[in-house]
Amino acid sequence: MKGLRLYLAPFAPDDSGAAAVLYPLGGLVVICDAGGCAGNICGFDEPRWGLGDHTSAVFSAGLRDMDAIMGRDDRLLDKMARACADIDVPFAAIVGTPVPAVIGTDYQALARLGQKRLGRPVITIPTTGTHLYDAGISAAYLALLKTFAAPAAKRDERILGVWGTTPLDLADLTGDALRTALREAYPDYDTIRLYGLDSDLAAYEQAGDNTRNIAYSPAGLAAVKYLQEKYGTPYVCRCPLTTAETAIMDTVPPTAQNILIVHQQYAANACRDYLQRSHPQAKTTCATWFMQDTAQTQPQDMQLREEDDFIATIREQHYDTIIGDPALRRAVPADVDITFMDMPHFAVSGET
Amino acid sequence: MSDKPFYMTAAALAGHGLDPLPAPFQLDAHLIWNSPAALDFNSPGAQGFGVKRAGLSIPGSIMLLISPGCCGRNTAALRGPGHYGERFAFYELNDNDIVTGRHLQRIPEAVAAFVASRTERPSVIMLCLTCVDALLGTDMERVCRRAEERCGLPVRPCYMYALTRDGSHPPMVAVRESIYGLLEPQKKDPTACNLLGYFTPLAADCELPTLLRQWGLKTVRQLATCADYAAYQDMATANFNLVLDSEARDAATQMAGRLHIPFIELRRTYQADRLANQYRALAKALGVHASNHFPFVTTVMQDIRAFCTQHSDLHFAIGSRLNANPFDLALALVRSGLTVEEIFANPRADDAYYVRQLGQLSPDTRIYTNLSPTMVHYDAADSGVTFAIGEDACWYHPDVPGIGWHDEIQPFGFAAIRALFTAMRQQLTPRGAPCPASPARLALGFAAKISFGR
Repeated sequence: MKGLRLYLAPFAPDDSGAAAVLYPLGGLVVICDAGGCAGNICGFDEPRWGLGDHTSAVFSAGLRDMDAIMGRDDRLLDKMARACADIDVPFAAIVGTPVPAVIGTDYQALARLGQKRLGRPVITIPTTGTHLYDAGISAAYLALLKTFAAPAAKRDERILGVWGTTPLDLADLTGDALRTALREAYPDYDTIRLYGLDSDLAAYEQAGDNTRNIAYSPAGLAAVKYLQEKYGTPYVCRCPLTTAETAIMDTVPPTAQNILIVHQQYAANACRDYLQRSHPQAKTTCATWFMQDTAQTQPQDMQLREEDDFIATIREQHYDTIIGDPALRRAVPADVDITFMDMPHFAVSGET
Repeated sequence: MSDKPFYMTAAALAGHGLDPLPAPFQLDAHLIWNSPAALDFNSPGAQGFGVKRAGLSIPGSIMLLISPGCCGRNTAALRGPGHYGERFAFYELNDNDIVTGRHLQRIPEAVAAFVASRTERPSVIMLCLTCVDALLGTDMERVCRRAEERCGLPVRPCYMYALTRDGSHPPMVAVRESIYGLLEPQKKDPTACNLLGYFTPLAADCELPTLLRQWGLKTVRQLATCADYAAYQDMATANFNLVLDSEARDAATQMAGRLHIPFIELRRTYQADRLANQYRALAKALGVHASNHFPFVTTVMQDIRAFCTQHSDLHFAIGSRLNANPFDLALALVRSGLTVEEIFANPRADDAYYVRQLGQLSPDTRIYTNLSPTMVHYDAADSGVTFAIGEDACWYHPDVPGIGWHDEIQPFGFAAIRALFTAMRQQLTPRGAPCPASPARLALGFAAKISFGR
């Protein structure tokens, strides 16, 4: 049944994706909600928060029923102005949730009014809580680039900009494993900027200086396309596998013939590329619950929408091996004989 | 620009009064800082009991969460102990559902599919609604009736309306009404009573059930200890309810009207003399002849005095994420001769008594609000705190000994006081060294020594 999930809890929503991009930037991040969405972000979808990394102050707008009914945006701006009087922040961001979506909040107006009122840049991310994290990441990247990216400066330094690297897609929160993989793949770059993980606001201001951009996941695709259009920066869509991830691939049974990989698309594709070398006889299908870049798909690949789709494809396609987040195990029919190999995806289970 | 967190001293707050609260303590006057210390304000379900877990308190119940994906996201965290996660299903709303309201037509089908997917037939299906349906004005009672017709089981709404948190009928009050609203009228048992308020059981050593039994009550029921749906329904036989958490007051009022079960309210307090007074008042209300002297008060007071003598130099910080009213706990410690430096809590109107008392007895105690944006400037180095009580206080003071005092098993009564001081003593005892003998611990089983007669 469309919309019904009996086995899988909802995946990371768009507001969590937007907040993940904003988190390392040191701004005033306001989740435009009554409290629950902010609690969900900080209490569940933002692992850096729980680790004591509080580079950003994340706030709930603390909306109440009359704020929503009366559309009292002025009160929100009052609250933000008071907070900016107490906290020195370079910019403010308002992240949307279902409440402003339902009442039809005019985010553009809110940004303009906020900018005047606070005397600093205000960006708004019109997330709704009904979409998935990658949509929020895309929207946040674009909002930041459009607001802060300055014309490219000539630099001797060769800079690799990597987009889509938030904790929602990365298993390693330090980014060390990914940096190692990137340095092996791109040895002639001086600097690696992981946007969404450890890049600060200056990295967005100087994004036009990047020599090359990589979309690590489809969540980063809109940003690299924007930078190509705006500054002519070339990009590739690629998710270099870390040693931990290749170790998982190395344990795929040699007898596997029909493999389903469920992850963010570029990670799944990278796994397939790896397996095609070690398991050339196997048919490998990549599926994703999230954005699908049609330029990077093979005919057998699929985008999953509903829990029923996942169950049906397992039954119909007779896979012998599934590689995916352990939370997906619950949805695998008990009567199907299949080898399930865990490859965590934070945006699915909230676990690394 | 200030670089200090907002606070008021107890004297200043007492002088100002709590009606109205000073603006920085008013929740709708500022952004809510989402620090770890404030997590269970914004997301009570993330730790402890929010509407989602509370709604599953009825044995054998299952819950369908009807919401945009973001509202159900952190439900995955409930897959751990208690297996709550396995009792959830989700009906994810998309943009079209919200605009057209078409999801309301499909909920009965979703409920039927959910029930059919279970290996055991559930006792009741709770439908959890969020801010979206609050704003859409969904008539959920009607939707529940249609779902009941479809699946032949009780279906009840749980309103997780965060927008109404500060209103007169906040979600945690409403969910208790939903839970107890399923009880059907039954013949009364004059020797039975219910303890209302908590979703987890009272600590096993709590003297309250023992006292009640000594006062002639044979059956003392708690929701959390009902083994099955039939046992839960037996709560309707109670002669009276004891309300231990004020958030259950509306549910108790409803039960008084619908099931003719009157209620009496007791507060959780860490002040031994006030607790004894409460028990005396309860005994009087029940028509029980109780001695004015509670033998265990003496042992608990000895325990407290021993602690205070040994640790008189402690300076406490008390948070609000704990099993206590932070102002009551602060007052209890201050009255015992200890020093409370800081309280992290938003006072409510019914805390006025405690604040007035603290204003007199400990005027310099600083009262912070966890939720103020200015708390980003809080620096533990500016305080002289040497012991923290409460999850949030421990977060602010990671370098001093402390206790979270936030377990799910609920402390109450003299046993709670004794357990609190024992827990603190354990934290203050050098690792490996034996914990100093506690007079109260020596008096374990004290309740059995009480002699009350009807």
